[in-house]
Amino acid sequence: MVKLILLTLTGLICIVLLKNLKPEFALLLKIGVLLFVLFYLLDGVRQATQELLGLAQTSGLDFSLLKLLLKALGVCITAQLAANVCKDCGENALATGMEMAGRIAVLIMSLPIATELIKISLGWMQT
Amino acid sequence: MKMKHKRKLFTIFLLFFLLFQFAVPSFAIDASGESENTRNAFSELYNELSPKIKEELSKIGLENANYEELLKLSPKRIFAEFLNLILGKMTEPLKALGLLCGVMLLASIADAFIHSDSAVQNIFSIFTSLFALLCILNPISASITAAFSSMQVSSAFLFSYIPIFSSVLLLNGKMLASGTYSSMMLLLSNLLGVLNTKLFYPLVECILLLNISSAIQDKYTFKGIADFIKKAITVILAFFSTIFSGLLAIKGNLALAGDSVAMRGVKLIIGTAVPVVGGSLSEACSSILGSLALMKGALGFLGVLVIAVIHLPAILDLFLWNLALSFSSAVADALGQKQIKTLLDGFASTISLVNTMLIFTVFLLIVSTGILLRFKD
Repeated sequence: MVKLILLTLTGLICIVLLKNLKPEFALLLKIGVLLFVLFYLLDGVRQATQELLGLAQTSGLDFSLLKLLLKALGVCITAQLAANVCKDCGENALATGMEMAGRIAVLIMSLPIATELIKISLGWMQT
Repeated sequence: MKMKHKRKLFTIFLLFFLLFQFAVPSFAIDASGESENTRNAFSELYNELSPKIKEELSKIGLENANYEELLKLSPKRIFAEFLNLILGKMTEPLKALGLLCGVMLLASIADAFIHSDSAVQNIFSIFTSLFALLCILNPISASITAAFSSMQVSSAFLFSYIPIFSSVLLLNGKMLASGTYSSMMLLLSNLLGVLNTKLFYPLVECILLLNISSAIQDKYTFKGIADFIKKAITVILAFFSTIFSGLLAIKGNLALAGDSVAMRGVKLIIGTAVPVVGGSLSEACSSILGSLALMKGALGFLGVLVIAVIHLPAILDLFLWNLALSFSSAVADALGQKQIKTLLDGFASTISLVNTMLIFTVFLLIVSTGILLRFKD
């Protein structure tokens, strides 16, 4: 974690310095630092996910649905992060587009759940 | 002197003559015939039961239509079976509770990462609400359907009382006496049985669906309509329970004598634990126990066992679901998940309503059986 904080702070100093000299490189550096942080965290996230899925398996919960929920959470966080980068660069339209993409992705993911719910409701109403 | 002696002898002789002439012959009744009748009636009643109920009865040791087996039932085995039933019914609500807590934790993690007013956050909230709904809708709908099936069985049973009761009244020749009162009681219980299955069941489905729609999106809320329907059902139930407890209190023909400390305790528990009709049920507690006292014979005991086997699993199931949902709602409140909390609160209140209806149906069945048995005597 200390390594990560030091890297982020170094990246921040570099970005601030580069902003006045070469703004286009500052943006690339910003994205680079963000990607590095994400990849650094990926291992931890994978471990946590495996623990959570193992816990779900032992308690007999639906494995595939929990996976879907975790995937949706990942999509939401990534889309928000990308939208924030776009907003930082002053590209509000792009940020909105990114948010929209995230929404649509989660909406598509929620379709099987919605279908299942509609099936249950219909079956229930027919009894 | 001799004359006096003769008179004394004559008086003694007369007394003995009268004593033997007008003596009431008395002898011990041969109980074997009556017990044989009870045995036959027991076997008949047992054979009429559905295979599922027979299977449940076999778990507590009543495996055949054997009268002796009933006498050998051990309370320890009944209690153990009751405990097994609770443990078995706990699995689904506990699973759902674990899953709901997991979903709510993930949703609160998402809240920490994503801005609360962003579009992505909104869609994720809807997604988690749908997910939470999927976790509970199937098992809860199964529990509610099972509860209404129990009510349907009771309703059919109550409906069969009307011709039996009419025959009993005709045989007793009590058409105009207390028959009117009892007929009214039976009619009311039948009416409520029909209302439960034909009117309340679709309305409960409506309440659930309206609560779901309100929880998933907050733009158009149907909570008011759901609350109105729930209130209407509550008012009807309260009205019926008031009439019932009132009639039982006026007549008091099934009430037990005295109001012991234990009875007061039971009344307090019923009054606080059962919503809507709890007050009326605690008032009519003496009558319910009076009805149970009328069923204390071997056949009556089998009847009580059958009523318990039909209704207890459904009552316990709904009670445990209510507990699990209320706890999950408290967790949702603590984690700031408003949408999921609204959803869980709606489900919990609906389940509580269905359980009230079921408990009230059991009350009607017991009291009606008591009325029928009283007239049979």
